[in-house]
Amino acid sequence: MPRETFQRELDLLVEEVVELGRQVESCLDTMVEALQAQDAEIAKRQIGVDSRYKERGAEIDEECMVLQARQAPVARDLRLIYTVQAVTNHLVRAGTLCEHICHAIVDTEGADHDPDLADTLSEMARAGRNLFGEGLNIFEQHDIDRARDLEAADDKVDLLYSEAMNLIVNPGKEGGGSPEWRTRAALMVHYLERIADHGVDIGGRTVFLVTGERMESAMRQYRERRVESDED
Amino acid sequence: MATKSGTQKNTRNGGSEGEAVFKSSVSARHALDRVFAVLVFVAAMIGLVVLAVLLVDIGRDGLPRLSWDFLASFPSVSPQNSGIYPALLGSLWLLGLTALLSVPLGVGAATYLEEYAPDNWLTRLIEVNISNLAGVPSIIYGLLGLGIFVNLLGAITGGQSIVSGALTLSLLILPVIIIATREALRTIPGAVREGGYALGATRWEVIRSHLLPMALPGALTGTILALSRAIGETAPLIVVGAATYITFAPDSPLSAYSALPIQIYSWVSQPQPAFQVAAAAGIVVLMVVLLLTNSVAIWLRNKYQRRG
Amino acid sequence: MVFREENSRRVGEVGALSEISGERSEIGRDEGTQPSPAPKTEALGMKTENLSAYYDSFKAVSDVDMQIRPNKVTALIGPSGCGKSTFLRCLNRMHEVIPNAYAKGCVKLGDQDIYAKYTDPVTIRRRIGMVFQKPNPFSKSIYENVAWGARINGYKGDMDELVERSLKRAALWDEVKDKLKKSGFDLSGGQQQRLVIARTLAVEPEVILMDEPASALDPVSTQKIEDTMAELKERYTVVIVTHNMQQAARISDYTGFFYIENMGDPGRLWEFDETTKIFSTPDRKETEDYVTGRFG
Repeated sequence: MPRETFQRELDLLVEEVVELGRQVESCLDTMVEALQAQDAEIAKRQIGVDSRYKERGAEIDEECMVLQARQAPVARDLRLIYTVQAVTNHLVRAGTLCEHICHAIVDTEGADHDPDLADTLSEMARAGRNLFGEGLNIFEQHDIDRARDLEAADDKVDLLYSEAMNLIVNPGKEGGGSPEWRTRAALMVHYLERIADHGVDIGGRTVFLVTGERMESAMRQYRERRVESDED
Repeated sequence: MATKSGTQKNTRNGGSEGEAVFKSSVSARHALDRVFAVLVFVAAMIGLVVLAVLLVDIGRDGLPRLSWDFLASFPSVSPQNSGIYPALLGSLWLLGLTALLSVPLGVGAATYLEEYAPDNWLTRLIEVNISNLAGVPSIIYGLLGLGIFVNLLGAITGGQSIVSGALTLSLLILPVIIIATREALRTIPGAVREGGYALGATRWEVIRSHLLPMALPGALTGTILALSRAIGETAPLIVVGAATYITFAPDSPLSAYSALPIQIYSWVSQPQPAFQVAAAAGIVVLMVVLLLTNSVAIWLRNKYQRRG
Repeated sequence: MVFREENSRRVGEVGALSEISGERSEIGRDEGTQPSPAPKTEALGMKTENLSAYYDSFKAVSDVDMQIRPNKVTALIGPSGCGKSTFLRCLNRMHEVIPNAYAKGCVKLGDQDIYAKYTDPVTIRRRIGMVFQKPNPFSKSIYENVAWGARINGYKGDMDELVERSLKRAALWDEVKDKLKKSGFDLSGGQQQRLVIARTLAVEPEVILMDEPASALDPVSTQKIEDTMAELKERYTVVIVTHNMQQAARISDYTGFFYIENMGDPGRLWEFDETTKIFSTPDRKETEDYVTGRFG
């Protein structure tokens, strides 16, 4: 098998990225648990974990550069390395945001919470975590058929985002919790929306890796084909 | 005494301790090498030594006899007065005419066979026959010359004339020239031809500007060999009527003639020892002519080789 | 246009400078010493339609349709033995120089079919030059190497000026201007190859074909040749066969990938596109396998 060494190095690289992704995913799981249980102790475990993610991300970046220097990749190898760098970036960002959310949970320990908003946050966290996990799976398996559903899932997160923002601006009968909590909640809502976006982007990058096309044009073609089949 | 080499513990090539993997005796191999070096040297020397002995012997007999008189006199019944003048002149005439006839024909034929002829049975037939012709005994050429040039075309050639002799010798050496020129053309890499064609040149332009000049050294070498052979040929010339005793110098291609080897042969056949000496002197003259011819040709070859 | 052309005329889109050969040389003659022709910038493109190449009865290349755009570098890549060199040699009718070799189909230089019935291959080869894998300068002086081709094609202008101009365009002038009388073989491999390029340029071709021109050279010479190629496309159309994929990616605008499906099959043009596409997202799997080195 020609370029066996190179192929092994590429496979190893993808494994490392997926490994990092799973670590971030488990961080997200912890965050979801903490939000659901409204338990700051659970969240405390994740404080400072993002420095490890950043370090890992930098290592992966450097491996990509070395591979490019030594192996002069073209076509799908080039797209893979390019995608790996982008996906790693998304993973590290998502991990950092997750850590920020856990930080916020710890900081607002004991403060007054708005139950509706807390529920919405919880739901949003679950949706975001699922979306991220799905994006990571799509990357690991190169299964771009599932990438199309990510947009729909993201729409749901966007809906929750609007709901949450509404609750923050217009607090309910119970008073809406303390101002510190509401401020932090607003940030958490924003972070959760970004985490969901990262998941979608990871799926989109995988589409590029496999097809060489941007997600948008792939989606456009998909929608066009759907219109055609609807008209039948 | 065999020396063990390559012996190691746990050799990489799978040998266990003490087992040699390579042939053990290096000194025997060196000895054989030296023996063969000596043998091939001896082989080369034998040829040279024999030649040297021959030359020394001839020179000892012939050189004293050499003089301007010898070169300028005609043969006579008296050995002291015999000279080699007409034979020398005859040989030079033959040399010139033969070269003039055979070189263009030979080079032309070789060029056709190498550059123009299609690779089919006819071409291969011609090639095989040319190789065979190179080995045909020279007396056969003599008989051919007698039949065609002397008798059939006698009106044009003047019968037993220099022209007939030159034509016969040309036929004799033509195959050698053709083969040498072909080999020279063959060694020219195809890339030269391709380079020429790629510039929009015709085949003749490529041949004229590149191939023939590049083939010149090799062709000249073959021509030298061929002409040297021609100078020394006796049998065919006798058959086509070169005179063994001639009292006038040839003045035109159509006149009768003699040649150096013929004169030498004639003197050697005489009983008087003085004639043997004259023959030896004649051989020296022949050698000198040969050397001069070769030198000119080698000089020409080197000149064209340097230019390339 | 200072060459006499017997059978072929420049047709198709050429630029204002050259029409039928006779006219320009007429102009020059009246002025006394021929001024050097203004450098032409617009070259002709080529097009093959259903081109197949045979060695005797063996079909080496099958039905290639290719558009070679003017003033661009087109690279031909593919595994060994898939017909790229054979195809290239069909473009200037050098293929038929080999005994029993012939080509079928149509090859157009501009609008003219170079395989048309009464077309003279000798004239075609002047207009479509070729540089070979191993440098093959003539065993003559550097000056003669460049001048010979022009001379036999009847160049009527200032030969010294032509030699200088050609050597300059091949990026060799500075290195040899003091030793034009020296033999072509006195140069290094890279210089010899540039000399070959110079002599090809001296006969003022439209298209320059190159068959792995740098494969026998060291990296520095290769780089010089590649730089020269980048300049050449300003004036000429260039087609290059190369085994070096990075080279194809570096210097070409368009890339054609040749491929053989099974042993004994003729080579085909498997994919042809802009170089950036071939090396980032090729359409066909075999192309991608080849450029990523996964062949075999």
